[in-house]
Amino acid sequence: MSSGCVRVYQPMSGLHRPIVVDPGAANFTDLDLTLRCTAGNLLNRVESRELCRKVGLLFENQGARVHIVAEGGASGPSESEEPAVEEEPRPIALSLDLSARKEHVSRHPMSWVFFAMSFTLAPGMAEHSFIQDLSIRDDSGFLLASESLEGRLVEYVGLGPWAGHKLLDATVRSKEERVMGEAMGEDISADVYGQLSQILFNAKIAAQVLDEAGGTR
Amino acid sequence: MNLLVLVAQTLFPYAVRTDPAPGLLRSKAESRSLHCEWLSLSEAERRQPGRLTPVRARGDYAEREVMLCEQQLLAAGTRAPGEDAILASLDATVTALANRTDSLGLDDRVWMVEANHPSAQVASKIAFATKNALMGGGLRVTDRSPTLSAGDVDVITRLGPEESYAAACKRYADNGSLRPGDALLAVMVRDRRETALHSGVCTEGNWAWLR
Repeated sequence: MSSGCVRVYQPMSGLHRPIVVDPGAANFTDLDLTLRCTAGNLLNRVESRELCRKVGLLFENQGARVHIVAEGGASGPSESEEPAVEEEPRPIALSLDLSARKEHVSRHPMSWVFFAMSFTLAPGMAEHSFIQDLSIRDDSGFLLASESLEGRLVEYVGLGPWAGHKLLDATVRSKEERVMGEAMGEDISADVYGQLSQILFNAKIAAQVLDEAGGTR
Repeated sequence: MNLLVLVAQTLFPYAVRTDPAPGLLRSKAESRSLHCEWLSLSEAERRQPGRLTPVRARGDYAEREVMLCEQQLLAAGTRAPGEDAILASLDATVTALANRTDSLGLDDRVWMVEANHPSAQVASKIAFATKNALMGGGLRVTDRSPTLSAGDVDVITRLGPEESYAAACKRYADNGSLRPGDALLAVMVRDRRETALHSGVCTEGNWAWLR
């Protein structure tokens, strides 16, 4: 993060819903997950592949067997997957599709005029909202969950906001309330990974119920 | 006054509390207690009449959008996260459930509702909301509940959820607490770690999962 720039993250809808599932626990030991990440106007193909790798690792750490499907490519196990020891097929097979898009970009042009006139004491401001779309289907293609998680990133440039936040971080704010340094990335990751884990867990239970229903879907 | 706020917002956006993002005067916790969405001006005027300067007859000089934020009724941490998640979306959940129940074509039945949740208060809220939604859909609803003997409860609670609801449904029919003209809609949480509700219908001893 460049000096003189402060980025803050605000969860708008979906991202700050309460979660119960512990993303550090073995929640998906009975799950075979196929993961697809689609590039869009927020993440290019490389970034989208990186997102897939991280999300795949998140679910592998929770016990799932993850197959990452490269965009426009064939299915294969994720890089970090260990060789399969057990040959038995997993009972629940789900697929998760992820795509992210940028919405509502605003550069607040008047703020940059004041930014220049005040010798950077008043901030130049830019913001955009992002939406993380996800859908989860079972092996028959039945849609179990479809969600859009929306957040907002606001960027302030200038000596005024930088010094103000730096001072507050150093003196008043608790560790959880700090906004400088890696705080923004850590907050987004915690929200996105937490929600993904909860939504996938709900979908897994829904798939079990539908299996028991035996064709009532 | 509006002009003053506008100038202050442009000069010191991080210091003005109209912006819902965390800033010098708004903590992350406060920001997280808001549910916000971007709206067009016309939609924002519809939801919050009288709070916005309307579009002039010949249009505005700039395109305006509004971010509408609503404060959560209860502060974070007041309820357990699982209960909070279920109750926050309860209205939408039971409305969808009522629509699904309505589509079963069992309009001639009298509906009983049973809610199973680890918290008795949450279970009672779920049952109340579900009955309201069913009545809103034009179905006949009763406050009666089917009953089980102590021996039945002892056996059924030892079964897994995949078997216990079907077994309870059969016993309700056998002991006569669920009569031929009745139907039972059961709403439950299957796992303490999930934040979604499931439902099933029991009629004449036959159990079927709805979702």
